[in-house]
Amino acid sequence: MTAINLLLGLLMIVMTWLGALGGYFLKAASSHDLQTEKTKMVTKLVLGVGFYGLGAILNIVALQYLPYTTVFPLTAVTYIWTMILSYFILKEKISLRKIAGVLLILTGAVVLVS
Amino acid sequence: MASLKSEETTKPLGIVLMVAAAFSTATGQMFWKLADSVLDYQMWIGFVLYGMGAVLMTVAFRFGKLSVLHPLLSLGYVIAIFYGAMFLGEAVTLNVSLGTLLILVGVVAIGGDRH
Repeated sequence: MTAINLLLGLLMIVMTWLGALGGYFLKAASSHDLQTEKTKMVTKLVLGVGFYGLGAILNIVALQYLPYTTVFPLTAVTYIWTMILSYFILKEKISLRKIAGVLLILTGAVVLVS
Repeated sequence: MASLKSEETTKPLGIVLMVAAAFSTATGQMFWKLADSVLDYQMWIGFVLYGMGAVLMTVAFRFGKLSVLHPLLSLGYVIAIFYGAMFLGEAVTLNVSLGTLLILVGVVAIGGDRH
């Protein structure tokens, strides 16, 4: 039983990271110019769609084993990873306001299903 | 394009496109919910709308910061609640209202941060 819970926990972590990586690569693709950097753009687009799509599939799989009320708030964890990727790779500023916003969204998602 | 990489702020167009992406994604998910069998027409409409959401999101990312725009997708949760109440007869309890409010405040806080 504990091994299964561990596996499901891992599934949720992988799922949320896939969503965040999907978003990151779609963002990276969107900052390339279609005319001059077509290959770079397409590569990142494929990675973005791939990660995003895999995340959606894992979401559907997770819903087979876990209640909606568990999966739903956990998907909001995606935005924590988004903040980490934005800060470390894209060098975006992560203001207190953004952190507060993500925490509010996360809390809201938990309250919504409780 | 260098000018796009060094953009200073998130443009209103980016936010509008993210709101549209959230609508498209949430509508797609509702069609998945309405689908009875694995590949009936509702399932396909769901896929198309979910895909359109991804396209809108990609275009939106051209007009701003990932850390501002990506979390705005959580507006989809609020839209899903609205659909549930409107079309699926799901109850809007105190917790649902409170959770929706918290998400909206979070979305507005992040969306209002232009950097």
